[in-house]
Amino acid sequence: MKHAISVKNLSKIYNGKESKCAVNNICFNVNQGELVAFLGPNGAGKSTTIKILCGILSASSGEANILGFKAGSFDAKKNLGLIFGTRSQLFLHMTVEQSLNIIAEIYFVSGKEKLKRIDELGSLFQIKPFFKQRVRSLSLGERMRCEIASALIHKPKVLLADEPTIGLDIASKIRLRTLIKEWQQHEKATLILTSHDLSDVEILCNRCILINKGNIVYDGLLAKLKQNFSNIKRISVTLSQEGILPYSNSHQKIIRKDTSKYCTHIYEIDKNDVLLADFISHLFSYYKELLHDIKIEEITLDEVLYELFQTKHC
Amino acid sequence: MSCFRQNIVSFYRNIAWFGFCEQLGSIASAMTGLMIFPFFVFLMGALWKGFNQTISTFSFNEVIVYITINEMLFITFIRNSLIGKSTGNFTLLLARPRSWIGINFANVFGKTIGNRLIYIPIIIVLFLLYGISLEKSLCYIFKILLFLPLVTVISSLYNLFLAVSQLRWHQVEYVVLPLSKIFLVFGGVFVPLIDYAENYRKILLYLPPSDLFFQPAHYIIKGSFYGMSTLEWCIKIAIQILVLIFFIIKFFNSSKKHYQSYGG
Repeated sequence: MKHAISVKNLSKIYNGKESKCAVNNICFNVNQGELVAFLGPNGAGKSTTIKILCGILSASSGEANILGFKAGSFDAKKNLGLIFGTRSQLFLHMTVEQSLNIIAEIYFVSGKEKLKRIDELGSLFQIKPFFKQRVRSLSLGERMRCEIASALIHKPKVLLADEPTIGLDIASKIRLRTLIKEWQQHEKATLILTSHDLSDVEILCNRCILINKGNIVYDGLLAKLKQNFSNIKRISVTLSQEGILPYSNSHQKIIRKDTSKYCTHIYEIDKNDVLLADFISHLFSYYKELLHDIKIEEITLDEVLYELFQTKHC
Repeated sequence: MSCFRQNIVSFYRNIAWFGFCEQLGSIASAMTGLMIFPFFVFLMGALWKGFNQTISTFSFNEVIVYITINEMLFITFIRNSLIGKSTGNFTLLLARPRSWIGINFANVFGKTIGNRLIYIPIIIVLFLLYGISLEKSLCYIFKILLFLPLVTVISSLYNLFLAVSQLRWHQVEYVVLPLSKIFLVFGGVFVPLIDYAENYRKILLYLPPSDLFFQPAHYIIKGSFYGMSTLEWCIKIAIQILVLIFFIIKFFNSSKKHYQSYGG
């Protein structure tokens, strides 16, 4: 089976007064129907990679292919759908229907097929009531649904979504994620998602590629990435009085200790090194009646990624 | 093959129509021009009456027609909003399987035609106010409409030329105003070139602005181009179009090569 996306030794150097290597010899493949998150901090090289895949930028060396076609070629572009959360693809002064019509034609969808597709997407994304409304009069949530419909009008086999839920309220975000997921299951298409909102990633994707300073630092299952950090527990202890020294024990390895000014001591331990029950009982005996509350949490995906990007190794 | 070609033509025709409708859907953007337009015609007509009437081969009514046509062509000529719109969709269109140049040309053409047609009712009213008969006014309007597609092709190409230059060198918006002023003066927008001193007139008639503003207006009023045949004017226009297309393609390729799509 052909890969939906195949990237081989891809590099991009921005030439200017000072040359900057934005992407450094990266390689990865994405199978058809896969849902992949492409993550990294600002300036990591993820947007550059995405733009090379779209054909917006050309690579300095290496190759990128979409469904076997060279990225940026006519066939690759025809099979690619794009959603940019920060950039509207619709035409502000025209109605939603007119915008969808013209975008369909840009992708060579015309005649009855176009009308059928607009009708299908109108039903799927529940945007039919806005068809006669001008784009400028839509709310952000409504517009984003129309944006996604416009990106899918030509039945792309690969969808690149860059921050699709940016700026949306929580209800709109949930709705949009559900719609994208439904669409993906229906069309068996490939999704590449870049987002700083990791709840998008957790809900939509099962694989993630992490990029930092132009290099891929992790490529694998999202669940596995989280699992690597699942042994780490955070214990927040709230005390009834300030100024108490935090608990420490040279026999018990504490990853991190933090004392906030609101009578809270925070500990992070690795379950492999320290027995959780044991640690908690030590806390009880150390703080005694000063202990007001205790909370045990797993670290979040944001924190996992933060750790990874800080330490630069996986 | 012919079906494919037909599809391409119909696609770009649709884009132009879309630009046209988009312009008419946002008449507010043309409001400033629409409001100052009659004022300019009145002012320039009065100035011409004061200074040039005795030396010109144009009658007062003809000069009003001349100023009206040229003012309409000039107000809708090079516009920062069109350049901004073309450069704004550069990233997006590079990712799509259609030509950025083709789509933007068709869109700017449709928009400019739309914008120019908005002025037609006002022009008719102005003609009538200046005592030009309805029959003659309609005749002028008919001739304007005949010229409109071709002169709009050229002004769309100038907009596109500036858009690709903006993409390549980033600071072109500062050139737009001086460039439009050059066209204003050298094209004889406010005063027919025919009223200029002979040595100036000879030079200006060779320059591209005169073919865009003075000559079409002269043809509409007098029924012929000034100092040249229709074929000569067509050749000059064709050369202008070819030169613009050459530079647009050249600068577009260069912009694409140097494009960095800054940030996110």
